[in-house]
Amino acid sequence: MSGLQKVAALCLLASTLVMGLWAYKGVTTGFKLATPEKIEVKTTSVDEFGDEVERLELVENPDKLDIGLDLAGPISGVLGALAVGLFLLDRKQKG
Amino acid sequence: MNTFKSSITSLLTVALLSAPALSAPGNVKFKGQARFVSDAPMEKINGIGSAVGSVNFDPEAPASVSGKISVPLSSMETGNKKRDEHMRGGEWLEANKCPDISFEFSGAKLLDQSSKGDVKAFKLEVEGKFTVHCVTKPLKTTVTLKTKGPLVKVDSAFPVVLADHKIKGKEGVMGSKVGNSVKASVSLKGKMGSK
Repeated sequence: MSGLQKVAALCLLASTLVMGLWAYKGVTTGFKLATPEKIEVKTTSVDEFGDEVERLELVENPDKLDIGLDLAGPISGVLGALAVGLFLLDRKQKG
Repeated sequence: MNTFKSSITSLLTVALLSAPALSAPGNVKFKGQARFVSDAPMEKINGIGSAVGSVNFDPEAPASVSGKISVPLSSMETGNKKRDEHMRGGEWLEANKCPDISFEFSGAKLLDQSSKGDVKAFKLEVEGKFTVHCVTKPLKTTVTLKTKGPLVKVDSAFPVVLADHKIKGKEGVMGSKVGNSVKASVSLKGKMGSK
């Protein structure tokens, strides 16, 4: 396996991993088109009226791997295209 | 000593005179949270913003309630900066031209009234003008209003059909990534006699 082929294989693997990560996160927490930079935090308390109230607050998403298709798609696409390009370049160099 | 006594007397007089004003019916300034949920086949979007309102309310005549509740679009967030920019942008809500979502109402139909301890609850059917994207449409919704002394709480939820307010969105997005209608809700609290 030539050096170019190795790099191409790594790009292809990385591309698959990025889409795999998006799919895994999608299966576990729901598929997302947009990356949730902030997530909702629910706080429940009993107010002055004796009612149980729910308050939502948006806080920074601590899970930096929780990506949406808006990030996963382009990253995976660029890596995939790079892999194909490198394979083709390798073939051209050999042939 | 005499100066001290007269100061105390003046303070007590002011306090006694202002006490009824604090719990008197009248204008209530509200603050709270507004939420919307867009549940489209491809994505569910939750939005949170802050709501402010000014409502004239008399617990003795709840049906005479009137006022205005506004949600500045600048306060509305969905958890993704780019999506927030799109939401406020030219293809959606055009926040530069129409910076607020508002509901103005005057008069209501009392549907139900109850009290538990010092908490009074009113279920009202309120009819008013709902404005989004600079398009005003009539809106009839159920409002739950609760009072406890001078404290007042308002809760309401209603659907908003985006096409009714000439919100077209980006081609191919409406109905797939953004729901044709969103579920809006507000939860506000205020104090009677607040300025």
